[in-house]
Amino acid sequence: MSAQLSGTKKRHSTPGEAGAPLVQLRAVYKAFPLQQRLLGPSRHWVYAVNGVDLQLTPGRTVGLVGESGSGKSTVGKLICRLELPDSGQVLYDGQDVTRFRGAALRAYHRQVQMVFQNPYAALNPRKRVDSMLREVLKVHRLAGCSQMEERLVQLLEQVGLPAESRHRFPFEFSGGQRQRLCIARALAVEPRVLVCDEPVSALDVSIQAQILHLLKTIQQKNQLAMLFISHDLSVVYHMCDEVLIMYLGKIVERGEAERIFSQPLHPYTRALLSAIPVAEPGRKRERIVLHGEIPSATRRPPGCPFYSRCPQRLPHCQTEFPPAHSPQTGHTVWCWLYREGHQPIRMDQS
Amino acid sequence: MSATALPTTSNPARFSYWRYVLGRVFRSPTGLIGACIVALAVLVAVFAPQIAPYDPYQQHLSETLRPPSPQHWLGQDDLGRDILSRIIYGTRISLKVGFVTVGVSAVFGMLIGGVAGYLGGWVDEILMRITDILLAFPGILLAIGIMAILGPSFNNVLIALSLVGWKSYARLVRGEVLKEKEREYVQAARALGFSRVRIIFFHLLPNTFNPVLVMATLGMASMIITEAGLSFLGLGTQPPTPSWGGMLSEGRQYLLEAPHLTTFPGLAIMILVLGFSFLGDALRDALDPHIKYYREV
Repeated sequence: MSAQLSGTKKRHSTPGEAGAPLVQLRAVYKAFPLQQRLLGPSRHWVYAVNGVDLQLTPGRTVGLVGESGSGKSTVGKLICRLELPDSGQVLYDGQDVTRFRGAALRAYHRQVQMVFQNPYAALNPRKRVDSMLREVLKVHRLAGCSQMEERLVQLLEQVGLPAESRHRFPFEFSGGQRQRLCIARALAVEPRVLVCDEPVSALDVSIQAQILHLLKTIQQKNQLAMLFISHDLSVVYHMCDEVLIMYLGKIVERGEAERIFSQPLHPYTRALLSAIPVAEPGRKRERIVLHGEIPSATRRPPGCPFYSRCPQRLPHCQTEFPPAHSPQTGHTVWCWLYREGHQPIRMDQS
Repeated sequence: MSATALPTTSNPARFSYWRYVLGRVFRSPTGLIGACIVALAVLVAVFAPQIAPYDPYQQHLSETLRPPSPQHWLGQDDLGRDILSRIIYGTRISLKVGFVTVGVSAVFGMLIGGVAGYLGGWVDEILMRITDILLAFPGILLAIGIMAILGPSFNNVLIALSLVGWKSYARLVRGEVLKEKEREYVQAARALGFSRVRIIFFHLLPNTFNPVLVMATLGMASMIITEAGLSFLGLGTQPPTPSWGGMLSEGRQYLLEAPHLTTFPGLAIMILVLGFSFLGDALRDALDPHIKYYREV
């Protein structure tokens, strides 16, 4: 599905009306050991997340875009406390989530839920739908025996599945229906934050729109703070209020979706946007084709992570990471080009 | 957000997983034969007093080593006891050994393997090194060693074989858990704040059950053989209790003049072991995860 990038789009919230952030990531780092040694720490690490700052606000959807291996999913897992940060902080309502224990931790898991990429692996194959949802409600003591049945039906209806489907096993559902079940499971605890890790990338294109529409409806109805992880820019444009562009564990550009898509600044963002197909025959477009491989995440380059593939690199890009540059409120880019007063290469000739 | 239609092939009746698996087992010829042999053995063991034509302990010292005859279908042993009756009662011993030792070792192995696989780290390291040490010994040797310490008796056979048996289940389950725990449904369970105990017992172990079931069915055969071996060596079931291994042992000295003393218990062992092996193979095929589930309308 391709979004019409030229048309104006009604956004559901503007930066002015955004409330206090519910989830905050402050300079979060996370690395994974490549091989475990018998004694002492590993020699080789994969640096998945290198100093990411991020805020999720109720009622707003933040898109996290990057290619595979850029650390997007790790950011999602850090928020859901499936991984703990090596340094930096993950805050929920101002409290450090790594400190949560026992009942407080369970309460946190009730607030923050996740929808996974692969709906074929995200459901326990041995559990019928009703026992899966029942377990969630029972563990969190969200419904007594009398309301249980009613709540199950309500949850299934909320995601557009018939009530009779509660007696089925996961393998009896199609991919899109399974993703609906995953959403129902996440919604069972009535979360305030929803992390969607590429929720439609494993689905058929014809189904994607339905699931996206469902997610968006739920997000608006429940005023969820949503993190939408994806590599599909047109989907992100459709879903998100704010967009973060991630490359090799670092955020290289962030801004309101409208701004990012109309005036991308970072060479990487521009290259990404130039790759979106446009359904307009005869329109001349210059694609920025990146050369070279994405560098290995096992070494942390001191400068800009995009240096090796950047079509406009400057000599000192390799040695020093650029400071933030904000040409406008709600739009920040980390690139030396704008410090030096260079013009970014043109992307579109219409 | 309208209700999407479910696949038309599905009917409103509840799908029963085990009925489906059993259907597949019975459809394969070896599976059917295996299941029949095992079912027959269970029936014989349960109704031994009704089926057996004579008392298995009744000695007829004037009629020793008699070959098969219309009165004694499988002949009489060195003390004149009816061999058919002794084999029928021996089924109880063999099946009891099989079910008890396999049950205990499978449960224990699943526990150890599940905990080691899910927790990882030093817990995994310690539990798996213990398993490796046990795996380094041949099972029967270890069982003989344990029997030497505990002394020969039927209950000690059960203890020894259970102690020997769990290690391979632990290895198998640990591997399966390592594979399963990276899957997203386990991540989802963690994100929902489920406890480790709940994740191991309600999510991981049920999903490792299929290979364990296959291994248990095949393991039944090897446990029966090992028990027979121990009884043959005089370490297992003590005379005069009729056990197939013990009967082989007693008949050994008359191998030339009265081969029926050893032939028939040997055949009984062979048939039962073959039955469990057939059933195990058919179960493995029926539970193969690569075969897609389908429902017949």
